[in-house]
Amino acid sequence: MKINSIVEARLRDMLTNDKFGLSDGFLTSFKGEILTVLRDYFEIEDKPRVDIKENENGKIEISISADATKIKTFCTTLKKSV
Amino acid sequence: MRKIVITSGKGGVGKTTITATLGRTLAKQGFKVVLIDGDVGLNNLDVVTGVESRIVYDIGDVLAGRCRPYQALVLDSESSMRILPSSVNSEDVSSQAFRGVVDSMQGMFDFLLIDCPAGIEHGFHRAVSSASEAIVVTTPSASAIRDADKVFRLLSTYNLKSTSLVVNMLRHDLVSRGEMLSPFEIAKLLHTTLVGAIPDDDVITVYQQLGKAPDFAPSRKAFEALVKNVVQGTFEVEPKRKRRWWR
Repeated sequence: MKINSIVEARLRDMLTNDKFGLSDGFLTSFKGEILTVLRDYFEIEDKPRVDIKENENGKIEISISADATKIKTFCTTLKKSV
Repeated sequence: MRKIVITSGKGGVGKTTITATLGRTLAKQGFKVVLIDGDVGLNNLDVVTGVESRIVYDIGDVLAGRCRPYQALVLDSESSMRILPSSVNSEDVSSQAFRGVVDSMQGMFDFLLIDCPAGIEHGFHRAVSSASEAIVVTTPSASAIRDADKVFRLLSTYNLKSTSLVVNMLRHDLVSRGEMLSPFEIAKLLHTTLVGAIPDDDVITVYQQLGKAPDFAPSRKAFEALVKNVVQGTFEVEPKRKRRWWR
């Protein structure tokens, strides 16, 4: 990866945190709650990856990604055997 | 009269040099230009323009009523632009008083450039409140870009006609190798308009110590492009310098 790409990503995080006052505590709390919601629907092993940045339109762009091993199904969605 | 403040937040990015060179280039193209040193106490515009030994009155004398504003103007040694030196005393100059001096020049000049002090304290607000446009200077370093971002956010609280960006001390060789952000990438990060990309220029660095700006400086074309963008509201990047064998 080229140095300017790393610098650009670093600056983007820095400027977003400066502008929106994102603290480590905010991100930790947010990731914890997202994990709780995701675990209701999926078998999640690791913590989700959260990326918060300002996009070209000046809006906050939130990207959440996580790896799951299984989708949890609810009793009401189980197929009935005929 | 267009009143433009040149600011940066971070010190040492080349505000004063760009103010002086931009003013000189505008003057050489036939515009009537006055430069005002907004840095009370740590003034340097007189040194960079080489007029430090010819100062009779400064802005402090104007505000104290010891002279009229035009009597304090010093003619530049290299062009027809005038310079209003700052006071050497770090006494507090109110924003209203500063604005009064700026407004007294109305009708006398086409361009009034204010060299803003570094930082975002009282001096910054004093300079910005007297201007109608702002040019923020940054270098490609992360700390300068971060400070420029804070300055742009502060400027958004003022009723300015335009705010734009000049990237100074650019190394095209590092940019082409992907080791330095390009001026376009910096402008995109800061969500602003790029009006100037000035290359790192040893000639300017050396001759600035003499208060001169030689015509053979490699960054001359970049400054001419900056002037064109400031005057016409367009943008053109200076063509890349040929790579020297020693870089």
